[in-house]
Amino acid sequence: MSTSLAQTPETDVHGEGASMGRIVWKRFTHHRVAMVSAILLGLTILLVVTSIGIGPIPGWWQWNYTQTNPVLNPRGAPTMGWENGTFVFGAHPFGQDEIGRDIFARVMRGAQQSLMVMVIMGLIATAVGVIVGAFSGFYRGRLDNVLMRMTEVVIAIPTLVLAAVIGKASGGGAIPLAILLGFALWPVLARLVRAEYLSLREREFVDAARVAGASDRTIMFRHILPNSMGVIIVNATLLMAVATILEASLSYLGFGIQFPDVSLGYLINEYKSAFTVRPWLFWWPGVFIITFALTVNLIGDGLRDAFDPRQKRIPKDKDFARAGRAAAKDNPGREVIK
Amino acid sequence: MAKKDVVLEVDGLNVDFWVDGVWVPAAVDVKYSVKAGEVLAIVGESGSGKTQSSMSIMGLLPRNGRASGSAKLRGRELIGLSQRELSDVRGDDVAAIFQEPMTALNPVMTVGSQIVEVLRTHRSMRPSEAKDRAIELLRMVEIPEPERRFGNYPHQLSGGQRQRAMIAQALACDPTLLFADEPTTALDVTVQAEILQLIRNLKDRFDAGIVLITHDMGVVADMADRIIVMKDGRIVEAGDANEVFKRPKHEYTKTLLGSVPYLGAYVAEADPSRIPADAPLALEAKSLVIEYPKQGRTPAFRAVHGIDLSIRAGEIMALVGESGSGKTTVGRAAVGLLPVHEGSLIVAGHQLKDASRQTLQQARTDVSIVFQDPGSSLNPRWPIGQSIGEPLTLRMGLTGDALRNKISELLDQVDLPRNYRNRYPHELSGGQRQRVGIARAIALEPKLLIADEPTSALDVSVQARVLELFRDLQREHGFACLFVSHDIAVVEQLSDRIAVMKEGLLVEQGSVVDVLTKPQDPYTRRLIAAVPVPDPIEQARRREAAAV
Repeated sequence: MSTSLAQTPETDVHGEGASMGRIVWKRFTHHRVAMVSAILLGLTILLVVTSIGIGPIPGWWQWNYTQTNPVLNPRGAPTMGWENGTFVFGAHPFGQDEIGRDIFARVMRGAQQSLMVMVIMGLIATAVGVIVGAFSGFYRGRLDNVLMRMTEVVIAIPTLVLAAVIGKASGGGAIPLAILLGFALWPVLARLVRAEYLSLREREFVDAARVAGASDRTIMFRHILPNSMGVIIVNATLLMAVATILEASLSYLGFGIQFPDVSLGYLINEYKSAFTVRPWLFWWPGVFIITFALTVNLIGDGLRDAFDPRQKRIPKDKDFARAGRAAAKDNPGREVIK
Repeated sequence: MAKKDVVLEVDGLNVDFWVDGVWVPAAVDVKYSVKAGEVLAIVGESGSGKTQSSMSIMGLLPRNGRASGSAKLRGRELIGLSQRELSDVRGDDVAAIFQEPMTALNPVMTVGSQIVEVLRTHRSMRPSEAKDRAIELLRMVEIPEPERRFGNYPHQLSGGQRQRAMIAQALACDPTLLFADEPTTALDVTVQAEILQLIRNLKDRFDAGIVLITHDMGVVADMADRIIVMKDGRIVEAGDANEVFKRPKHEYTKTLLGSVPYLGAYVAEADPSRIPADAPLALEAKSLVIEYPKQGRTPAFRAVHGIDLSIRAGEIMALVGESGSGKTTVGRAAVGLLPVHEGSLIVAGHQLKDASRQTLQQARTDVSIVFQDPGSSLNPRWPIGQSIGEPLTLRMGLTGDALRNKISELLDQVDLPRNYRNRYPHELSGGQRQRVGIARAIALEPKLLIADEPTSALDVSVQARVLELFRDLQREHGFACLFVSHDIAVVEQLSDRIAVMKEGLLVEQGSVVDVLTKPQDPYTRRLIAAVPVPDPIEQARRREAAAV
């Protein structure tokens, strides 16, 4: 951003610059780990949604998650594997349980429930956290005191215990559980948003907006909110990762999703005693829990890097070497240093 | 002066930065030499590479920077030394004074211990010896009560004293070369004069070569023996100080010199009868008291102690003072950003004392403000067109094509291309951003415009153009203006009247001619005398006059 000087007038039109959104997008797509995670998560969601279908819409998979089928392999071992040198899926690629239910269908159903809990809970916790944090940070004073003491109370209660009570109270349905959990997990985000608002409200553009005639709501949600989007998006994704794990732990403990429905944690709980005999009952739900928690976390990391303009990628030696070669090509007269 | 040894010899120095996969040159083929006891000034605007070329000599480039070429300190090559070898050189043979002493000093260490640290790193000294030497150094830089100040933390010192402490630290090991990177930019003009005086005195005593990096031609004229002018990473002109000031060769140097506000250059043009005496008042303050309300345990702070001030319609009133004088406070109160504690403040017919929300909203259609830092006063996530259009949408309900046309019109008025509307603030230069700030402020055709140091964050040549634009707009729209500034030379070319503030009180007000030619208050006289003039001979004459 060197100021153009005397010869070139200040109003000289130079190249079209990128908007903030495009810069963030570009940085994100250059974050290799986050991009791989995003693609992996996208494919997983596609598989989970299309395989057994949603609600009344049928999927392409032949079994559903409750029906019992004749046990094919001994103990219902997975049919997926190598057979005469070719890879085959077979009728029950993830295997069957002791009464012949298809594990692939059950894992898909469980993953759907876990995803739903993750998204609903993430949205609610984010919305509540942002609103509480925004009012608290913007108005400060007494309102801030009340809201922050409230947040501290919610933070002070151990999440798992609170969630266990909520799980029981919700009656085992995935959606009520997700909603109630959402109302339990907002405090962390609320504090971060409050901190952002506290510092942003002192910036001069807020005064400028006030002089321009903007109301408090306009300043809070049209001026300051876009400036704290980085913090919010990043923490919302991290919150979703927490939600996946929390749902799995709850269901494992028997407080979450209840019979006849299944979730990933529920599956692990149901089959925990079969670990030595039928390990596949155990593995597949675990693989999906790890996939969700890990990919969402890594995407969150990538977003944080993309949103923080101060975080410049430190060039590595090979980058220097590449730039040096390019420079040498451009002006061969100049010496190139390692 | 006898011929002295060459301390630093720089030849073919290149500095590049690795940005988004390519090497961007910051300084190209820089060549100069510094002799002992000589002050070499490197002059240029921000981004000209003046700072980075000097930092590279000390090995203080960031990780993505690299330097090549040659820089010899008394014959010893500095470029390419390892960090370990460099840290022996830094602080011992080469020292630096930075722009902002508050951030350059460690806030959790006492001033004294920071000087002792330098001494004990480079010299084998007992702690008690080092302490004695540190106190001696503090006395040398004319800090009062050096024994007591030794144990003070940086925040307990004033800005000028902090900069003195920085200088004491830099001089601790008798360096042969001293880099001074904008040493007075963060200081008030009267303090600046004292610090420059100090550096000049010490220069003779230490016989060190000094590289003074600055954008302020007044400071250069005051200090420099020789001058290098840099632009876009290259040296465009080099030569003897008197020579460069009198007969600048390069076009850019001429522009740079031409845009320096010159105290006394406009007094002759001032027309005291421009504003009729019976014009209605745009702003009227009567024994105005403004307090920053108490917050938590911080008690209320009274920034303005009862001032009387009036601005007639169409008049530009300059409010001048140093930092902490309360001048910005007055400006912010006039747009209702701070409450009036006592007295009365009538702005464009609206009484702001105990004003209700409605009154404030109404008043703000008639008064608006241009902020000091355009980088902070524009919402970074909004395209500038949206920022300019905000008051129009909120107040006049303009939308769609009507809004777009009005925004284009405003962009035309501040000489920005219309297609800049969709740009974001970070894509514009400082001067362009301030134009956006001005466009937003005049969008509603205010009767009174508050300009809160609108050019102090800008380079001098940009400042000149923004001031010109500002004056043209004022003539065209005829708004009254409260122009807040710390620089008396800047306000001279704009204003009809000047009011001088000190510690929350008005010490003097009157027409430009009266205040500048016949200042009544001693403080005003001091303020005017402290403004450096971009003319070495005049500066020398003034110095002698002061010495007598």
